[in-house]
Parts: sequence; structure tokens; C-alpha cells
Amino acid sequence: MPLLTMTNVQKRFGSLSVLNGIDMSVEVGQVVAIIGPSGSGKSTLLRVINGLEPIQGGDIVVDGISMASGRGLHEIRKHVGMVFQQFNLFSHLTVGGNVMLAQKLVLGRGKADAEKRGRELLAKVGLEEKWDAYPSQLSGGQQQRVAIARALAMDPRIMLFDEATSALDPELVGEVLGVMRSLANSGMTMLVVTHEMNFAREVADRVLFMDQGRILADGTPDEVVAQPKDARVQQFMRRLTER
Amino acid sequence: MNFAPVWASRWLLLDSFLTTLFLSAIAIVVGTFVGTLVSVLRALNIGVLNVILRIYVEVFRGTPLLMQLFFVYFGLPMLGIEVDKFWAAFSAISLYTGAYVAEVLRAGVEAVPKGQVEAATALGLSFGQRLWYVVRPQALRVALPPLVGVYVAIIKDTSLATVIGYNELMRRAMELVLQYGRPLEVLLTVGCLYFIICFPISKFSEWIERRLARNGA
Repeated sequence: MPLLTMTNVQKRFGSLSVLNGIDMSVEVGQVVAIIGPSGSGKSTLLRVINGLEPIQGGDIVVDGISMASGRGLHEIRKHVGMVFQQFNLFSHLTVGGNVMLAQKLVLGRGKADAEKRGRELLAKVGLEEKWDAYPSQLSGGQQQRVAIARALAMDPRIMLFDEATSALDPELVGEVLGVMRSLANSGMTMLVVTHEMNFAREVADRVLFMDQGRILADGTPDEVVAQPKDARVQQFMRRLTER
Repeated sequence: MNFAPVWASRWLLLDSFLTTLFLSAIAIVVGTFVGTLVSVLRALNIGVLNVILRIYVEVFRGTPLLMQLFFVYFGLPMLGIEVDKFWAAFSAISLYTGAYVAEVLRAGVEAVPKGQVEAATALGLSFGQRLWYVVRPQALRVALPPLVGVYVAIIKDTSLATVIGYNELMRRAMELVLQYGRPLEVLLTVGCLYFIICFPISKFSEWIERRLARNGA
């Protein structure tokens, strides 16, 4: 059974239709890169999966839990981790406070357990020594790695990355991509909205190309990025390489 | 200068001083409660309720407290609602405070980056948990200085309750002036008494601000 299934998902902002009947599924351990022009609905696709945006039609099933069921949204959020473009660390809390808050409040973990898990994950992203630092004392790349650790601390089944490297200085992009790459290698199921074509080519098992709220192409990186069949995708790729 | 009349009236002044302190304290406590409630309800963003709360805030901020006091004390009895001096002063000043507190807190809430609230949502925090653990600490940091400004202004504004005959510090001062004809001495004394209440509050807020500033951004 797929870990994530979307059936005929519809999303509108007022009269503007942003997702026009999305059908897709993601298997356990798959790394899916989502590419496409801005305004194509990539970010919205991620945001409906953990209910940051309500949908107007269709259904989303994560790990057998339907969004449409009573406690569905709350249960799904516990299984889905999200990393944002702007990091969104809680600025009044230390790094340790950031990685422990939701563990304590949502999973009901005790302080000792939450701290143990938090320190483990910070070590994984290479920031163990920053436990007592505040976000304002960290670089963008470090903040984003903390944000990844914070999401992983909830032991999610799926991780969503919404342009996780777009707000970073070029020299800081590598450290965040490195963490994402090792996460992918460890078998995490990931949906990654990105402009990093190299990442899509090298790390993703599968690439989705979105345009105007539809999935125009869905295949291996080779099929979608290297030798696209669809004319619209070809045009997008040509523009990218011309830059 | 002759402070003998003031000294002779020291117990009367102390009594009125405590009355002002009492009126200020309950207006601030109740006003803060009302203002907090309003700002939380506004954060919920429920259509009709939002409009009603907005009207409340704008009406009480947009009209003089003096008029509100007159309205409650002289206006409401015309509608068959009798209010004594204390309740008139207390309710008008509390609602007035509530409107200002609500506005200051709203600005504080809006200063918290939306992305942090979204991140908290994505991590599974409930509305109440987001409000308490993510929004409240950061909003208070922004709102504290203006909030203390509101409190200090309210303490001074309780002197307006004198117009409906409520026996607070300012009213007692004017009585003493009429009785002894020593306005300079009486008003200097009363000014000092107001200062004694307000100054420590300002100092206390500076201390809290410094403490908050130490804990990161």
C-alpha cells in the first residue's frame, strides 16, 4: 500500500483554482522532487498534505489515515514533517527548546526523552554544540538544519520540503542539501519542492512536473529532467539551462 | 509655602490615595482581562464577532474617557439602569482600558511571524498551544512597553472619575484647595502621590524589558 495517496484533490483560493484534481501516490522510501514554474501549485500541493490549506474536493490518505475522517487531520500532521523556505524557528526558544517543544506538547514525551531525541537529531545535522543557542545567533543554513531536526524529532513517516534552500546564500545551500541527501539515503520518504535541478537529478527517485495546478509529467529524473517528452516541460527545462 | 494644611489632612489624603490605587488596580486587572479576551477572540477570526469586537475597541478608543464616564453615570439611569459612583467609574475605566490593551496586544500578536505559527501548526500544536507557547511569549515582548504606557496613562486618567463625584485623589485635592486656599502645596503633594504610583511601574517595566532582551532576540 502506498504511504501517501491523493485522489482528485481540488484546491481553490476564492475563484482561483490552484490544484485541479491531483491524483498521485508515493511509496515508502521514495524521494519525490516536485518542480515547475512559480504559481504552478507546487507549494500548495505540499501544504494540503498536512492540512495547512484545507482542500475543497477529493481525499488525501497518509499511512492509511484519511484526511476526511474525524481526527484525520490531527493524526496526519503527527506523521508528516514539514520544512519551510523561511526556516520558521521559534525565535524566543533556544535550539534545544525548538526541537523539544512539539515532542512534549504533541507526543507527550517527558523532558528527558525529548532532550535525548533532540540531541540525537542535532548531532545528525551536525549542530549538537548549538543546543543553547538562539536562532538569531545561527546562520541561515544552520537554522534550516535545526528546522529539519525539529521536524524529524516528531518521528514523521513523510518529510515535506518547501523550497528549503531558496532563502539561503549560495554557499550555505550545500550544507542543507547534504542533510537532505543523507536523510534520503537513510530511507525517509520525502516530497521536495525545489529549484535545485542537480538535487532532483541525483537524489530523487522520481520527479513531478507541475503546471497550472496539474501534474504534467511524472517519472524518473531521466525521463522528466533529462529527456522530457511534454512540450511544456521541454520549454521549462530549456529556459532553466539558458539562465 | 505652607504645608501645614496638607499635613493636617494627611489621613484624608491617604484615604483618597488608596482609593485611587484601588480604582487603578482593578481597572488595570479587569481591563487587561477584557483586552486579552478580545485579542484572543480576534485571533480566532470569526466574522461577525470580529466586527463587534472591532466596534467595541474603536468606540472606546475613539471617544474621550470623560464622555464615557458621563454616559455611564448620567446616561444609563435615563435608560432605567441605576449605577453608583464606584460602579460607574469602575466599569467605564475598565472598558476603556480593555480597548487599549486589546489594541496593544493585537499589534503584539501581529508582530509574531506568521511562518512560526504555521510551523507550530505543521508540528501538530493545537490552536491553544500555538497561542500559549509560540505567540504569547513573543507578542508580550513586543507589547510590554506600550502596555505599561497604557497602565500609567490609566492611573492618571482615574483622576477623571472626579467629575462624577467619585472620591479619589484628585477630587480630595480640589476639596482641600477650596477649603484651605493652598493650591500650590496641595497639588504638589497630590502630584507626588501620583508619581509614587506611576514611577515604580515604569521602572519595573524597564527591568522586565532588560531581562527579556537577555533571552535571545
